[in-house]
Amino acid sequence: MRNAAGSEPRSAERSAGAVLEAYCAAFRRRGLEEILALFTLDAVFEIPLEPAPLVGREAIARVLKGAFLGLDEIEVWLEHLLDAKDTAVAEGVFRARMVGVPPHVDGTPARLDFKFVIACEIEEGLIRRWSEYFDTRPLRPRERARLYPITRRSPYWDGTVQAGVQDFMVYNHTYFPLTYLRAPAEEYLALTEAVTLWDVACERQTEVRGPDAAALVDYLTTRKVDDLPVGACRYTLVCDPEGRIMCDPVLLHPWPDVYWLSHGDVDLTLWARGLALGRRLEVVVSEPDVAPLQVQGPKALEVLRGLTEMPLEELGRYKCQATRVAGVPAVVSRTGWSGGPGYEVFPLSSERALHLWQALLEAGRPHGLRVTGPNINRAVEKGVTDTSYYSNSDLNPFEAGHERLVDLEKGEFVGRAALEGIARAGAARKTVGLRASEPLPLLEWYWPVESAGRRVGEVRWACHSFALGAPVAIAVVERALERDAALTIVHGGGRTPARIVDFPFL
Amino acid sequence: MRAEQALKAYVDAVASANVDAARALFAPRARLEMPLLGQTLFGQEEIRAGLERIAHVTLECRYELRRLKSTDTLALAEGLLEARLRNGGEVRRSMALVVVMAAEGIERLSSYLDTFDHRLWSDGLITARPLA
Repeated sequence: MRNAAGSEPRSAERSAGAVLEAYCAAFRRRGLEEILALFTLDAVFEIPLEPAPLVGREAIARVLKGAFLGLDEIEVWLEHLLDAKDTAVAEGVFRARMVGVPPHVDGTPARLDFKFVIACEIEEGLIRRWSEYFDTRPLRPRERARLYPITRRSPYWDGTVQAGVQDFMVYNHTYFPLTYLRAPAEEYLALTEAVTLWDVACERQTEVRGPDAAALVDYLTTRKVDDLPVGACRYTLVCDPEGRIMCDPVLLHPWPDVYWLSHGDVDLTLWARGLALGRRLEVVVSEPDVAPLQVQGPKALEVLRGLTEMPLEELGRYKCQATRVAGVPAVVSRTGWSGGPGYEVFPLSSERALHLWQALLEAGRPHGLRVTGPNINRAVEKGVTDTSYYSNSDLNPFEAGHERLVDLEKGEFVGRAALEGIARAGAARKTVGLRASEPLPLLEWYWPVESAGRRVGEVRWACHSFALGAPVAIAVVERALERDAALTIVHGGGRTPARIVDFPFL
Repeated sequence: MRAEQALKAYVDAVASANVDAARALFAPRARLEMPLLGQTLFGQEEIRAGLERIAHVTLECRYELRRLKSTDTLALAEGLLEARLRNGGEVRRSMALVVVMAAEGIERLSSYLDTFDHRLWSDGLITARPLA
């Protein structure tokens, strides 16, 4: 008799210990189907990394798929095994290299090495209960980043703490939770195959309200505004007078005479206030108490549908509508930073923020929702980036690949004269995708890119692409460089060969 | 002493906070792995001192063994660890225990349990304050 995978004989006579050893051997081979075939259809699978026991092959497959995507050079060996016919217990050691996790700052590679105990119960030769015991604390950072009261906190703070937040970026003077307790591969799978919840309260709104609202927003941004109907959104740019990108916000028009610029890390509200004062416009510019959440992933609609008053299926891409989510007045837009399906929820007050957070967690539970930060790996694959004015200065829309977002035919706007000049002369640099020949460290500053020993640009984003199974980067380089050009990325860990490839990567 | 007897004697000694009885179960160069407090303790005296520290921070600490398999020199058990801490905290955790015996007593006792969600820090609820 052969098992469901057809790979090895299954015998009702096989002992639990033999099945346990078969599991470990298959794990070393990354044999997903082989492993699943060892389980009964309703098997219970317990590991400390999951909050509750998993039941059934599908749930087990989800965990194992994440492990195989995120681990390499897997070694499993058993030091002790006590075997009876239907039950076995073993003590052993697991060792693996983590994929997509850059080395630590001291160069130590990211590894997953730990000791464990496994208990296994079988029924007619198949596993009906699998329990692993190990301490996950050493597998995670020792402590979360240091925090200081000078920086604002999100109203979802307690929710993110509960979800195991580990590390933050300071963004719009707000702590932005980026890293949780899971492996990047697991978060990537949750985003691409299920659903994720992000605390992006740091994504602030510059609200422009009043009779001259359209005029101010039109002057502030590089695309037309007067043709944007109520209920629509538009990806646009804000440039400084020299034509440098200040941010690339999504412009929402949720109500007549009200616009929100949902913006990146720049003091846009102050800038807009200054422009409004200088131009004596009849507007009120403010930063409202609106702390967005992103629900991203293919099951985002299923999570939000039951909570949202409006029929969410009818909300088109780059559309927004005022409604209620879990009873909380909010604007919902079909936008996001994942490069895939998803929504943003903008509650109109942070008063009931944790109620909303909890409701989304509950609604997401049956769909495998994971609390994560924005997934850099996926964003980079899809060419979704961000522009930080204070560290990314001197980047203009033509260099960033955002020509389509500059409307030189519309009326006067900030930066127009400079951008006309750049358009006439042609940009000196361009944004390209790079495929690196070996894993790259964590990007903590922009790395120089060289060609034949000469600096020709710099890397702005770098990560592992799970879809391509390779390290990738986004760089700004001299315009003359073409596809397949051989370059060298110079970083703290050394020099890594790379070549220019098609971009976006997917 | 067989491994199963040693394991049960250790569990009883911990439950009664009898650190001397627990110490006497170990071989002179034994190893005790106890991740809850980040400890790997070597030798009878270090083990006694470590167990004293545990007794000092707990009002009550007990293991419940649910499934146990053993030979003369090896015991592997699944179970539950329950503790009430003097600071008001509570621990309730699935765990596994492994005992490896030497001629003079326990050579190694390893505890396997996840300690991650025993957070050492929390600031409570702090909400954002809007600019305008």
